[in-house]
Amino acid sequence: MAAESFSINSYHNFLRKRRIMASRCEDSGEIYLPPRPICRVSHSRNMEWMELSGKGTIVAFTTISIVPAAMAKRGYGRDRPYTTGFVALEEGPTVPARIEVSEGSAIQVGQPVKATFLEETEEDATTVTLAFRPL
Amino acid sequence: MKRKKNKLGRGVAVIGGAMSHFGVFPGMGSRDLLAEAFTDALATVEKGLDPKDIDALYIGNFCSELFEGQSHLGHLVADWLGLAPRPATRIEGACASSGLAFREGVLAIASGIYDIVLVGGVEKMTDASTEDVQEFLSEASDVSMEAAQAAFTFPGIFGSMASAYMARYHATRKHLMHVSVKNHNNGALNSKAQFGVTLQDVMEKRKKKAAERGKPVPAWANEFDFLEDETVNPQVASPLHLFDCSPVSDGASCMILAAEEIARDFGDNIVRVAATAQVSAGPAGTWKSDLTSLPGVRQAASEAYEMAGVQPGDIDLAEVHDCFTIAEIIAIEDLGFFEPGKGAQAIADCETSRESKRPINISGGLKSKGHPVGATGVAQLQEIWHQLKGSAEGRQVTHKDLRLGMTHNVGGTGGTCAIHILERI
Repeated sequence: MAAESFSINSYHNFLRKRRIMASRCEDSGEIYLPPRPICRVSHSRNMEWMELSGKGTIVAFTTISIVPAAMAKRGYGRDRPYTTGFVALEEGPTVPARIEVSEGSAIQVGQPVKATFLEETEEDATTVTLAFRPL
Repeated sequence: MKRKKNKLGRGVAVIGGAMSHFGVFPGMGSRDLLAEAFTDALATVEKGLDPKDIDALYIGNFCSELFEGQSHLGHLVADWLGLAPRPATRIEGACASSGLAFREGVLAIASGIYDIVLVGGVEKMTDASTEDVQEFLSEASDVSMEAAQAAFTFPGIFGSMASAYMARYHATRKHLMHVSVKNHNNGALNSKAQFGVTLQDVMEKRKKKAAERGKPVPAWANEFDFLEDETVNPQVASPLHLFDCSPVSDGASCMILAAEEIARDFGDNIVRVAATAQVSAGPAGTWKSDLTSLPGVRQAASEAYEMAGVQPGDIDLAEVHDCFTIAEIIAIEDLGFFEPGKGAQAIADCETSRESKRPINISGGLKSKGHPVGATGVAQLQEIWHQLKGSAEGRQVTHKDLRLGMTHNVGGTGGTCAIHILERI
């Protein structure tokens, strides 16, 4: 783990291993997701790794009907919209991520959610994306 | 740390300004649009200006390399407007690009290096497919997290802010609709607006068309009834629908700035730059907020009020960045015109309409006027300038004396915030 830099690339590498890894500033205690090398508060570079639980609550959400090209390729569109939003993790950071809502159920701001990892294959490349599911 | 002075090195005044028509103009590129805006701006200089006296250009543009396949816009614009070899700099700050260009022009004059500067902005958007436009605009977000991971579109991010606002303050979709109705009413008086029609006009036109085609004529009772109709106002990203979103537009805007000490050489109506403020806020996920407010705007506004030595209550009118209806509601709260949570009802109660004590988006806003992203900041500022000196034609505010006008120009989802105050003296 020490070999990984505090970077967006490392964030994705850890997601492939189903781990949500943040950086934590040893001086200010601030937690950053994706992990970053410089603290916004203390300006210190004394960062350590911290694994997050994936538990959080919905801060804001939307159901998108006019979808971007990448989501159209995955079969989403006006007849099959998807939900995404911002989730505040219990450790502090807020993260933008898709929210998997089962058909017929509604979600709301403040609702507790738990991380899930979406595995999607496109042109032979498999990506693992962080998403959330209502608890 | 030593407190910065927050004061210009010398005064800066506006001596000219105009926007091109905003809309869909096949065959017109960035340079053509800027030529129109520049020509019209020169014509507004009361005592005339020899273009040779312009010392430099700052041009806001978000992404001509994507929309037109053309980077390196600055020198091309200088050449096209007949201003080469004057230094030209392209400024990029997403939808706040020309708010930043205006500010750079102000700072350059305040520094003493130039006396007369052309500032402006341009975006040529409508040659691209809807899908491409969406893709290009999403590059103004934090792409790896917001666009790739969360699959957010821009309406999606503002839609989620609306969900947070509505949950916290018990606002409804009807509150959002009021913004759209008001801004279309205002834009109907703006001859350069892209959708310069009231929603009543839109409804009547559609009813007439249905009757002509022998189809059932829709029975909308009023604008709200029309906006509730999913067949004419479909959902884009909940709770935002088509008429909550500003359009895709072509357009340009230009203003001419001069050192305040020489401004009377160009006209007797002096409007000075009372405040310029810019804040970098980072992506929404880093704000530690509930997304019912843009912290960057709050900070920039507070710096602007301090610089101008005025309070929110002193502002006579404002142009705010209503890229989506929810953005206007949040803007008028972030600027301190209304308490958090009170903006939505204030708009519904006509407290920001053209006859109110502080009209908001008298131009029609981005919603009705159009939103060629790189042109928007200076388009807002030239509207305020015309209003302050009484040359805003059919949309001129006449029921009150105007002294102080404000602009609120936001890039991305609030990552870049440019706030300006103009003052008639």
